Formats: sequence, C-alpha cells, structure tokens
Amino acid sequence: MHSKRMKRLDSRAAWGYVFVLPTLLFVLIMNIWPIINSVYISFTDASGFSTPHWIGFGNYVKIFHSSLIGSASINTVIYAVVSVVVGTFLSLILAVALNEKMKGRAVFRTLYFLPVVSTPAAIAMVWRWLLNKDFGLVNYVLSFFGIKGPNWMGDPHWVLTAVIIVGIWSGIGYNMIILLGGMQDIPSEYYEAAQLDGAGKTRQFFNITMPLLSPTLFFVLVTSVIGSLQVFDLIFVMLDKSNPAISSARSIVYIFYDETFAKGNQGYGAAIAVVLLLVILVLTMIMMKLQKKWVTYDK
Amino acid sequence: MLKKKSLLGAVVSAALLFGMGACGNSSSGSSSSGELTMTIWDEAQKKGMEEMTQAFMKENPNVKVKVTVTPFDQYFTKLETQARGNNMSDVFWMPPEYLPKYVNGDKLLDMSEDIKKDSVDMGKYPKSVVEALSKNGKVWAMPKDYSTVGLWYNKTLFDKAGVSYPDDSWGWKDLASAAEKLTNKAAGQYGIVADNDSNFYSSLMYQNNVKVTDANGKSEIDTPAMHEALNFANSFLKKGYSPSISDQASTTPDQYFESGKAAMIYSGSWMPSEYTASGQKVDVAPLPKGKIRATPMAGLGYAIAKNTKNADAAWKYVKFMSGKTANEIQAKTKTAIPAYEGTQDAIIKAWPDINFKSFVDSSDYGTAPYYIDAWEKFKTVWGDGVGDILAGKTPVDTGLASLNKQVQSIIDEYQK
Repeated sequence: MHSKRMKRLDSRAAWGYVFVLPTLLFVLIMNIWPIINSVYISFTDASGFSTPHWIGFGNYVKIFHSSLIGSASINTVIYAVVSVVVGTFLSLILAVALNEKMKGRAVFRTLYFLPVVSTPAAIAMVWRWLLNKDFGLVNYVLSFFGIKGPNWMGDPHWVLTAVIIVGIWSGIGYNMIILLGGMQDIPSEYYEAAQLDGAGKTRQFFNITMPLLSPTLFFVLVTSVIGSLQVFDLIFVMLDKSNPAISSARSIVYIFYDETFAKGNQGYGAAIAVVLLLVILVLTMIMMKLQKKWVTYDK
Repeated sequence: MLKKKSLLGAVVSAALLFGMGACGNSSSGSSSSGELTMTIWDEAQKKGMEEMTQAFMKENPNVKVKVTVTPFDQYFTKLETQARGNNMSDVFWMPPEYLPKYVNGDKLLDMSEDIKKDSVDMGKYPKSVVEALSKNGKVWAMPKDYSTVGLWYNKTLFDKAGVSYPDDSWGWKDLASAAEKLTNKAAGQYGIVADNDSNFYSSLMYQNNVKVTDANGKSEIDTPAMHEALNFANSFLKKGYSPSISDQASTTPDQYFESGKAAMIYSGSWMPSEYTASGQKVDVAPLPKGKIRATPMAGLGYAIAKNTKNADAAWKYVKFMSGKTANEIQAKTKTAIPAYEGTQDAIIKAWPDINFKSFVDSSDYGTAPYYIDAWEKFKTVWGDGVGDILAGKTPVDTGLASLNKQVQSIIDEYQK
C-alpha cells in the first residue's frame, strides 16, 4: 500500500518535471544564462568586437564616480517614488469605483485597460502631440482656466513630470485590474455582516477591504517599484536625443542603453545593469520583510 | 484548472523552443542554394531596392535575393548583435560612420581583390564616397548613394516679405539678413530653424574650414574657426530669428518648416517627398557660402558579411547593385541620389518642381567628418555639448573649451 502510493506520487512528480522542463529550459537559456554572462562582462572592458580583458572592479569604480549616473539615479528615484505612490493610489480609487454596480462599468474598465495593450511607442507618440507646447490639447485645456501651460517636453523643470504623467496613465489600468480581482475575492458575507452591525461604507473599506486586499496591494507595489526603476522606453520615444531637457529625464536604464548600444561600451553597460539588479533585489527584500507589518494573509 | 494551465505553459514554451530551433536552421541552411538576404533600414527605399534586385535576378536566375527592412532605430543594435554571433545578412547597408568598427572587428568582406579581378572602375564614383568606404587601403563596401544638404525655403513667405529667393551667390551675410527680414514675431513666424541636429551647425563648421577632429584624432573643437562657426549658428537663436532649441523639443524643426512657421531650414536630399507633400510652396538652393563652399555629404555603401556562405553570389549582387543599370533604376524610382557617375539625371527629372540639381551639383564640395576609430565613443558627448551651447545652457567660449577637453580625453584614452 505504502510503496504503491509512493510509486504513484513519483510518476506524477516525474510528469510534473516533464511539463515544467520546457519552461525551465527557456528561463535558463533566455534569462539566467544572460544574467550570469552580464555579471562576467561587467568585470571586463568589453567594447565593440574586441576580445574582452578582465579589469576587476574598474567599471564599478567608474559608476560611482560618474555624475551622469548620479543625476540619472536621482531622476529614476523621483520617477519611481511619484509614479508608484500616485499610480497605486489612483488605481486603487479606480478599482473601488469600478467595483460598484454602475452603468457602463464594462466600458470604463476597458477604457482604463486600453493603455496596457497599446505599445509604449504609440502611447509616447500620442502624448508628444497632446503635450505640445503650442498646439497640444493639454495646454489648450489649461488655457481655459487662465493657466499658461508649460513647455512640457523642452523645459528641464517639467520634462520629468511629463514622463511621469504618461507613465502613470499607461500603468494604471494593469494595477486596477489586479486590484479589482483582489476585491472580488473578498467574500460578500463580511460586508453583509458589517452592514448589520451598522458599519458605513468608509468603515467597511478600511476594516474589511483594505486588510483583505493587502496581499494584492503588496503585489502591485512590488511589481510597480521594479517596473518603475527600469523605466526606459517612454523616455526614449517621447524625448529626442537632441532635446535640450533630456538630461533632466535620463533614467538609469537610459544610460545603460546609451553606453551599451550607442557608445559600444558593453562592459560598463553590463556593470550598470548589475548594479541596478542589486538595488532592485535589496529593495524587494526590504519590502518582503516590511510586509509582515501590514499585509494580512488570513481570510 | 491548475493542470490545464501548466500544460498550456509547457506547450507554449515548447513551441517557442522549437520555433527558435527552426529559425536557426533556416538561416544556416539558406545560402547553399544561391539564396541571399540584404538588410536595409529605410522602408521608403524598399520598393526601389526590390526593383533593382529584380533586375539582378533576371540576369542571374540561379541567385535569389530577399530584401528585408530593420527600422533605423534598431538597425545598428541588431547588426552588432548579429555580428557578434556571426549571423549577419549576406549583404547590408553600411554607412562610413560605422565602417571602422566593423572593419576593426573583422566582420566585413574585403572587396579589393574582386574589384581588381572584375576590373570595376572606382573612378565612376565620387572620390569622397569611395574614400569613406575604404580603410587600410582596401575597399569594404561598394558605393550605393550619397546625400547632401541644401537650403530649403518657403517661396510664399519669401514673396510676402519681399526677399529674393536664395541662389548660389548667397553667403553667410545674405543668410543672416534674410533670416531677419523673414522673422515676424507677431505672426509667430521665424526666418530659419537653427536646429541642433547636426545638419545646420556641421554645415557652418565645414564652411568655416573646421571639423570636430583632424584625421589623426586631434580635436579642433577649441579653435577660433570653431568658435566663429558656432557663434554664427548661435546668433540666429539669440536674436530670435529661430525658434529656441527648447521650443524645438515640442514642435520639431521639420514641423516648423512644413507648417509655414519657418521660412528656411538646412535639410537634406532625402526630404523632397515629405516637404513637397506639406502643402507649402517649397524649393531648395545650394547652401550659402562661408569662407569656403561646403555641404555635409554622406555616402552609403553595400557591405558583405565576412562569414557569408555565398561570397561569390554576394559579390555578384553587390557589383550589380552598385553598377550602372541598378543605379539608373535607383534614380528613376526616386530612391536616392545614385553614386554612379552620370546616372543622376533621372532623379533630377523626377523632381521637376524643385531645384534637385543643386543637391547633385553640391556633391563637388561635399564634406564629412573624419570617422576615426574613437568616433563612436565621443560622438554623443560632442552632440550633447553642442546641443547645450545652442540651447543657451553653456556659453560658446567656455562650452567649447570644456567640450574640447572631454572629447580629447576620450580619444586619447581610446588610442592609448
């Protein structure tokens, strides 16, 4: 009996491995191997087609002395903090609103999700036009309120704000759908009981929705932080290389791209990528630790 | 449910893996049967390239050539990745700017022997283009076309302001006074777009007889001639004859010109279809003369991958594409100014409403930077630095002095 059961388990487990194998191979070849390779390249002077030479921590020393990396780090942190805080807050509000029974709910859900399925390049091109200083719709609308809209894409003080606005707008739908899914997992009995006890909507939100939604919210926060620290495509497409304000919006990955693909300094570029990987790793670990203080997993 | 999901995942990833395997097979097994691929970056030129290729295949029915497009933004990223894996297309477009890197990396086929063997006359091409596609005394790409920069102008705005159209008698002074007369701040109209995208300031540099570096990699950035050229470029922005650089971040230089908000722009021989379709009455003239006559001129070549499995067919194809018949088709289809001597008439005739001839004629004094090996390493620093100066972030004199140090140190480190 015992052995028979073991055998069955074994063969089931074996089938499991068989099914996982292709994915595992794919991840190993396409993700893990490049990471290992990047770490190796980051310790070399790889450039162009020449044979790389081992230079130890040379690239890393260069990173910590680079003012370009310094300003890009500041830009990236500002982008990440603002877009994660504001973006998560807005998607939470939207999720709550679209969780209510209302007319046209499906239409609104689709509308808010649309940016997620559009390509970043298309989004950036449309927003370039919307944010045009002289002919853009945004500044046109602002003029009705007597506000003279800024030169969104040409003024160093506004250019990062422009990128953040577009970043939030394009990411909001994805987070909203995930939060909405989390909310619909909350059993309705809790709300019915709370109603019987005389709890109002606000009380229900903070005492039922928030705690039970916290695992989903945590997931949204972690993925948003990781994603926002890697911001690149929006900046790359929205701002031309000759844009005089671009130094106020260059992110870390932008510098990585520039070094690796425009200047051909693969070793240095790899080192930037490794540092970013470590930063994200540490941040994620801290968030994992901190979640114990506010995330509730028991329902 | 869970099982279903993982099954789906397995199927998908298996499909991906097999798909990749299939890709690998097809690219490695293709050449033995006389098949070639050529990669280009301009969708607009695809039709012309295909027509030329058709003509080749008619003459050589045993060779099949496929033309594929990789958008310019990704072209060199992709080419470099493929080169590292020795997996490039057999034939591809190669501009002089990137040639040294690929020659140094031993990625291109040396065509000198074939040229000699088939007695191809390199004298049929502009000397500067042949030189730009040669390195270490060998030819690494066959000339395809060249482009030059001219002074595009809006006839309507000139008529309104009562300024006579530019011609080859114009010099820097004429340009400055025309820009002043054509500027109408109340109407939001500018005399010229002084952009920081290199065509404009490079033209002025060359006309003042100065380049970024000399042939040996000595920076010429902090020289009186350079200061003079950039001060002249800057004057249009300072005096308000041009939209500011930060305004150009919102509305591009081309958009200013195409919407009739700017009367003149320094732009290239690749722009007629866009500018003539803008609804403005436009024409083009040779660039105003500085100390000397000069225009930025860029040649383009067909290169062959060093590790191609079909070198004979590839050379045959490249020889045809750079020859007379193919270049006549290239001109007739308005694809680009053909590099082959005497085949340019067709493209001049193909643009009857504008003075396209000025682009061809100005090739006599076409100029290009010295694409030294370190070019790739300092070009963004140089571009950003000039951008900062024209944007008014740094003054011309101190800006050029510090830029000179930066660029020279990058070159010195590279050449060490």
